[in-house]
Amino acid sequence: MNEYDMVVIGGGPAGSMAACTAAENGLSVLLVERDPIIGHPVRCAEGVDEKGLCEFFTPDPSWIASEMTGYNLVAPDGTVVAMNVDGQKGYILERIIFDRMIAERAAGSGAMIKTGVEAVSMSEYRNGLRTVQLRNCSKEWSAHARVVIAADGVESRVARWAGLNTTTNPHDMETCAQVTLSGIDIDPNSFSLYFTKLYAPGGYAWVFPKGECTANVGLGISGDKTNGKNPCNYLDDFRARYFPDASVVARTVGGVQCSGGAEKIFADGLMVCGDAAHMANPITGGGIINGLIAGKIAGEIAADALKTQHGAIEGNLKQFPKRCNDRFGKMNRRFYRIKEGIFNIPDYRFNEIAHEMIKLPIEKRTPVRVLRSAVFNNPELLLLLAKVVL
Amino acid sequence: MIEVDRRLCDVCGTCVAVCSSDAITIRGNKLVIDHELCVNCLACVSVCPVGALGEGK
Ligand SMILES: Cc1cc2nc3c(=O)[nH]c(=O)nc-3n(C[C@H](O)[C@H](O)[C@H](O)COP(=O)(O)OP(=O)(O)OC[C@H]3O[C@@H](n4cnc5c(N)ncnc54)[C@H](O)[C@@H]3O)c2cc1C
Ligand code: SF4
Ligand code: SF4
Repeated sequence: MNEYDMVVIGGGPAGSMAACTAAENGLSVLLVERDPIIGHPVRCAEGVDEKGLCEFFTPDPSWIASEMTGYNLVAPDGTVVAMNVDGQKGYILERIIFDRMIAERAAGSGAMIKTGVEAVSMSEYRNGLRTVQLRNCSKEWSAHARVVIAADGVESRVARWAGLNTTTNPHDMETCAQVTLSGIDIDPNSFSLYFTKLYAPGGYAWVFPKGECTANVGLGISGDKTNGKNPCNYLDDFRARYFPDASVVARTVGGVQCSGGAEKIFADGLMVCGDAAHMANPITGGGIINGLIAGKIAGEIAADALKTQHGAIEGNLKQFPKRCNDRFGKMNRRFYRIKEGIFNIPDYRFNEIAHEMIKLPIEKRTPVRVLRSAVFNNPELLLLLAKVVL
Repeated sequence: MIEVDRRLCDVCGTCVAVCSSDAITIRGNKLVIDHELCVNCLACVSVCPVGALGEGK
């Protein structure tokens, strides 16, 4: 009774993708999500790149809010630099529908999805099983799993129940506030990133269009650079400067780990996926695609292990960090090393770089060019950058 | 003693992630702080996006 090949804790992109992959490969899967509705509340700016998304899904108008064919960097003094996208595209999702679509696929492949159910504790790995204690508003019960997927997002408590250290240093936590604004004058196909210590110390502010006159407008700051103000205060200041007359149709807050990756992301009978394993890009804070990648890898490894050597999953889990590393982990650790350098560039220098950039033809306005200008008379950063690019 | 102002808290979980004492839990859509475990490091206070946490708030 209540025994599954896989129990997934958390119904975000990482958890649902793990459940979907495992179920497609014939495993019995239970996914529990604490919130009553999959995908809600949305704590996300909803931006993804086309290449990353299309590895998993064919873009569908039901969960794509808009298509991005350009982007701007905005300097502290307001100078807008339209950048060269080099033929790349991006999308702004409707995550409430996107997340549910993935969960529905998992369900369609045979996974059991339960919302309004939270995991409250987990046993050690004994006789090839872990026992997860579950709870809803009226009762508590347990489920047994050959493998547990910790996809509980930013909180990352499930991994800690297994003795893994996934606690985040406040410095590496981007703490964010976002509003969805309507009635604003924007280019609906270009997103903008604002780098300035005035509004986003240790982070950046974003405008991600979701239609003709609507956009997700938010910012993230490093958790130890708040200077007595919280992200909502900074966002108020930012809006007063750039969108003083807009209507607010939604608000959200949240955090994303930008540590470059948790130390250890598996244990006996456990794999940690997505934000819970600090898999977001430490510069951009984007974690949807890496969560999908890790979820898929975890599902494949579990299916492989449980189907070929019934019960003997231990040895196979070692592949998990390796495969994640190859796909994005190594890159994230490199990004982490240049992150400090980028976020420490003084505002006056960003202004100078922007003024240099707008003189160039758009083909030459690439991120590498911006970085090169930024590190031009900063030998320390130049060295770091060289390490990252090499 | 760290307290949460429930009128402000959006239950986003950011504070949970930085608490090295595992003193913060979300239960039934409510934030609960275990004062026996809390070591008053203030990490949670500094990352809360809405300023819902504080000493004796
Ligand atoms: C303001 C903001 C903007 C962002 N913008 C972007 C962006 O533009 N592009 C991008 O790629 N990424 C962005 N991110 C990051 C992105 O949202 C995450 O990387 C992504 O959601 C991670 O997916 P996940 O499946 O790991 O976790 P989540 O989507 O967070 O899902 C985890 C789920 O687990 C559930 N859960 C937690 N504990 C339990 C429990 N004990 N029992 C049961 N269920 C539990 C939670 O309710 C939650 O639904 C942003 C983040 C923030 C905060
Ligand atoms: S960080 Fe703040 S808003 Fe988020 S759960 Fe903790 S107290 Fe609530
Ligand atoms: S003060 Fe420190 S120990 Fe106490 S709840 Fe906050 S983060 Fe945890």
